[in-house]
Amino acid sequence: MIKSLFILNTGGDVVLEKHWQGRTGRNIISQFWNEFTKENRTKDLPPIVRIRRQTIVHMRKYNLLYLIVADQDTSPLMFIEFLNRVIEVFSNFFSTEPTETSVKENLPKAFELLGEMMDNVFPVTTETSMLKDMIGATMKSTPNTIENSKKFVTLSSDQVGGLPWRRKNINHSPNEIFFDIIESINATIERSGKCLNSEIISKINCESKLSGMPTLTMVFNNSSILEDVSFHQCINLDTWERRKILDFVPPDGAFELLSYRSNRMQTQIPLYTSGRFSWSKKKRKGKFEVILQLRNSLVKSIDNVSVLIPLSRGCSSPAVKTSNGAAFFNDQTFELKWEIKKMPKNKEVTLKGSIKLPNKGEIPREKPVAIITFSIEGLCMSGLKVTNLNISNLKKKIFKGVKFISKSGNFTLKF
Amino acid sequence: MSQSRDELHELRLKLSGENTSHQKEAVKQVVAYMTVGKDVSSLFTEVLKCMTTDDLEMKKLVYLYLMTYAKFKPDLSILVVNSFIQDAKDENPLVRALSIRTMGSIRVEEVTEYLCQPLRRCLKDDDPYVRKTAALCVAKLFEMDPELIESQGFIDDLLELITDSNSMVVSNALAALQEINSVASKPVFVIDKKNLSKILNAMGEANEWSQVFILDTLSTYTPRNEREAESLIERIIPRMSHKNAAVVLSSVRAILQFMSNIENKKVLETYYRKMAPSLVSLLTNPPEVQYVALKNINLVVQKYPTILKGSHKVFFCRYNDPTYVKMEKLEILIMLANEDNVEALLKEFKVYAQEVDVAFVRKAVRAIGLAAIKIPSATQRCIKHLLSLIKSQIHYVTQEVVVVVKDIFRKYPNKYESIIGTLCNSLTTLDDIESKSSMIWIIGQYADRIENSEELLESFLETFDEENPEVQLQLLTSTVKLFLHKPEDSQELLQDVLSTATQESENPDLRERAYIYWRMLSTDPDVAKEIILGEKPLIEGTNRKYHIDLLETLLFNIPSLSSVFHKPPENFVTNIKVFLREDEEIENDEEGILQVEEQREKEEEKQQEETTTTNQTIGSLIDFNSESKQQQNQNTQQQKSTHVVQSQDIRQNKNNNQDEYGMGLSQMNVDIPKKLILDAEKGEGLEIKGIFQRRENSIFYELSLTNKTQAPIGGFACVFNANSFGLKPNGWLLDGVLMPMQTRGSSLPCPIETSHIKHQNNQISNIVQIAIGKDSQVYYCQDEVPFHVLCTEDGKLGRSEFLKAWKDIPDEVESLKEITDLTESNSNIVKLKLENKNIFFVAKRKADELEIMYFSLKTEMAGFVLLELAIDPNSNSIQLATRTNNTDFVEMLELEIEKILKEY
Repeated sequence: MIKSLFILNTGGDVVLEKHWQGRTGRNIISQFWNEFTKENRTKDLPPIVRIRRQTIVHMRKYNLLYLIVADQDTSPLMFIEFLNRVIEVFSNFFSTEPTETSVKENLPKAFELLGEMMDNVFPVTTETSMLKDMIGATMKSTPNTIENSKKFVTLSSDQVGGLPWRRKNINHSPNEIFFDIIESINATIERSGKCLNSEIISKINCESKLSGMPTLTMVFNNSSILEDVSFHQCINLDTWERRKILDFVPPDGAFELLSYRSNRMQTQIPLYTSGRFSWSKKKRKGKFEVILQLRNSLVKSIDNVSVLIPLSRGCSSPAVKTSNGAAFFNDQTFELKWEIKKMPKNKEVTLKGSIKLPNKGEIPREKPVAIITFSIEGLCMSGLKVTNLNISNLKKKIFKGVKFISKSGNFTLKF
Repeated sequence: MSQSRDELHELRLKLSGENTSHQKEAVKQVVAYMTVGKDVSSLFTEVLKCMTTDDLEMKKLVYLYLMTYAKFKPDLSILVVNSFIQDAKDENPLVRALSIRTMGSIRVEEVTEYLCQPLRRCLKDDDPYVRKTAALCVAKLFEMDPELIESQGFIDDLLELITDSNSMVVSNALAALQEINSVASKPVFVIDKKNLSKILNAMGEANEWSQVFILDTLSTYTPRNEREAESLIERIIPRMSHKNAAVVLSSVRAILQFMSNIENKKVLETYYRKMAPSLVSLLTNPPEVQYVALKNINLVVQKYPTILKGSHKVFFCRYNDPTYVKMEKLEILIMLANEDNVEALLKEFKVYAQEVDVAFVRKAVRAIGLAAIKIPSATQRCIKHLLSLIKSQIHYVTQEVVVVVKDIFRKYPNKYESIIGTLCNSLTTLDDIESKSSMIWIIGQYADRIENSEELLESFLETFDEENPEVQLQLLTSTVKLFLHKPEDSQELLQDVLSTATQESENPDLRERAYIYWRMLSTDPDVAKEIILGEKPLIEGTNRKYHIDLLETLLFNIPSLSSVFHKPPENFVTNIKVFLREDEEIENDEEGILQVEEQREKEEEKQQEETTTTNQTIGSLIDFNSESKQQQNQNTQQQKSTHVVQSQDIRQNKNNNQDEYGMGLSQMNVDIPKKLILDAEKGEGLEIKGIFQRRENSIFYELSLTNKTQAPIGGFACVFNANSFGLKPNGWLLDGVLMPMQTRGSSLPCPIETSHIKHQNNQISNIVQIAIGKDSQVYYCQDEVPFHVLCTEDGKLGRSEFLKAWKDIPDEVESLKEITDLTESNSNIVKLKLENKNIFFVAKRKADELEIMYFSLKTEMAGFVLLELAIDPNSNSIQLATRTNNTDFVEMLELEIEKILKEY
């Protein structure tokens, strides 16, 4: 079970340590750190390691390293999910990414949160909105008044009665709820432009500002798109199982309603990509070309397309030519970045150039890849549509809206 | 120092002051100091006073402080308890819950007793938040004091909470019961018909974490009939779409468990279909979750090979997947390979084989080979891919191809041997054990088809002595095969190999195998041929990596660590019982483990002895027409001729036949060269060499003095300056005179006298400053005292004494050191080396791949020192953990141990 949480900075110093069960010495942390910083391991060390008969689950986020030390055969997935939740809650409470500075500035609050999020070995309250009530509200209150003790009572029964993710007596004006359907395309494209494999990983984000206890039902045009789906805990799973409609009382504020994965694409990948790459051993040079073209009748134009080519250490890119946009070589990260402000319709845009290898060393065997990023509003690749959104239990004027965004996920061109 | 004292003083003033906002600031500061590891325990009383505050935030911080330091101030804990009991009666339920929660976490025995009364009250509190917190608190206390909890009837209170009106309370009570079950000697709670529906209802309403606990509890239930199993599965299926991956995996486990109660194929089929998308969608999570998911999917697919049919594309590796994810994906892709998708998979594998990461590339090559073995129709294509990979000339790719090709031959004998030529032609250096033995196997197996097989084999045999045992065994077998194929070309080669293996090798496996071949060949070459070159069973391409029993165990433990490491849970459970937990019961267990270890060790030793004796008997029984006999004859002749030679010979024989380690080492340590401490120039013709040694319970300074002048020298004296160890010889050095060019030895007894202990510059040092007097002249020199001479002969602790002493020293005091680049990490050798220096072996056990050894030693100034050596045989490194009450000498000791282990 989880014994302790350590948060380390990039130098391996402890920024925060929280112990739920006994006390874990820092010895094990320094031993882990040695293991972790061994050559080339920072990225490749599996997230769960065993050191001195203890289990360490680690995760890196925003330049902080989170470590959970556990000592029994229990669910490591729970630890990982818990860590994710800790990071999420910290971001919400510090109103900034949890970095070394922000954690240190908010140390007492961080401890308070961790105390509420996990009791002994059991994760308890991990929802931001609930935690806000437990920590925010009581902080400001002046104690010892009868009113206040009443407030406490309602508060705590809120915690356990009714819904774990929504408290009672929420009031908003105006009442509004918005959904963003964000579809990310993961694709690997061959140099000929042929798509080797592709999938859509999507999520529906929701921003809810509704009063009281509203019940929502959402109906889709084609629920079979949502075959691989994970739901937020507010969604009534049994209703979905029986009737394939979403039935839920939303948490207050921003949250992720659901995520899904789909292989079927109703429309063409909006951006056609192809390219070439070759090493010349003699000249110690690599020549390359990348071609992009907008190819989807539903899309008029795409703004801010970028192509990133990570190169091996020591490379330089002296000669680059672009038909549109501008390309820069970052000699610190050895990355070539090509940015196109606006993609024209019906026209190919190209990037041509050559990179120079350092004078010594082997010619790399593998060719680099090009990572393409783009984002298109109003397009939905999977063809998912919301056909009906009904809100009951709230007799006020409600603004509601659904927005679509299609964007690149892991979109790579293999030369 | 003084600055921080000032800070503490200021904090103290603020804490005891009247100004509440100052107080709060100060408490915050104290907690901040605590976090960075500053010792603020001296403020205990002041912080404790702040507990009466009405400010909840401040109260929480005070509680946090108390949780950290209460353990170190048990005398003050009683004060703390009073305030806790007050708070447990507070009108604010959050405060009541907070106090119960903190009391459970404090882990001070004195507190536990006082906790019972408030805890009982809180379990029946009006407020559900307090009740659920109290439920969890019972689990915490159970771990510390099971008897107390049982005798106070808290278990019954918990069982009662399962019928609570509030679902959150129910789920927390279940979680607590489950936790208690996992540590209790017998389960305190079982799901039965009565509470089942209550539990199922609670699952529907519980938060995500409680769902995990409920699902895990539920998995242990055995449905009474098929219908019940089905209805349970129906209830769980919706949970598989939960956002929280832990809920998904726990659902999968529960469903898999209940499915084993269902026989209807059609029903099972629908469940598979529903499970597949949930498993697959786990891969949309961050890489850490993916890793665990993949490890578990691996197990599920081994058991149900068709479950993910058609989903192979999800497991294709992405450019920016971390290596640990890629490796797992590849593993699953291999399992999913079938006639329909093999084309697409091979294409992927080929791309992977061109990436940069060596381990991943090798695995990709391996994957192509496995596909060839699994799907006969694709073998031709696989071989084509493999051959094209050989052309890349990258040595680790070629090596891997060799291994893979060997397996293909073993699966399809006499079908693809045409490629041997290409293989032999493109051989670069093989430095990896597996590929080397694979190539040697191929050469031996197809010796008749490879034109220059004897040349190839001969080139491998050149380095026979230096090879890894595995390669040596393969070389032996292949040479025998070569001989059977082409007797005329290879007789000499065979003779060489057999005699090297039987006479020079220290590896009993190799010796015995060589003897067996030798005997077979000398008895009846035709039968030998039939046996050695006979048809071999084909290897099978199977998805199942693990034995079905292990697989079932792992599947049963799906969300747990064992399903990630693919090792049965005992591996993890036994491990933690060593030194980490503090209850009595486990101590007994631990001793059990040690005893078992000891027994096993004895058995091993016995076995070793037996093998050696059998070896000898076989040696004398076998009657070859060979050199061995000749040598024996020679020996007898020599015996007759001279007595001196005979006795030497016998000694040599003994050396060869007995355990090589023991004799070798102890002999080597007898004569350690002395170090020059005074050279003739500085000593005006007197040269002194010296070394500290320990014998007969005392320390001696062994000296040898040489007179390099033309006149006799006399009037010797020797004094040590006060030193860190208190070594003090009595002043005597040598009687009489030293004649010109004469060398005499002297043994200076160096008793330890506490009055003579003095640390130079306040630092502990192993350097001793020595003044040597001769004929009223004084010379100064110095020498290092090796730490081991201070280790006394009575330093061996019994197992239980060791265990107790180990626990008495807190974790924090433990010092760690990593010793790397050892030439030898065999635990027997480590033991011998250390015991030679009065560092005594206590116990040994295995943990994962590590060998953990415990040693004790005693010195006059520091008392007993406890050592734990975790030996990693793979990397030849040792993690040394040292625990002692007197830490001053630890660094020196660690260096000494490193030195001892690295000594040859």
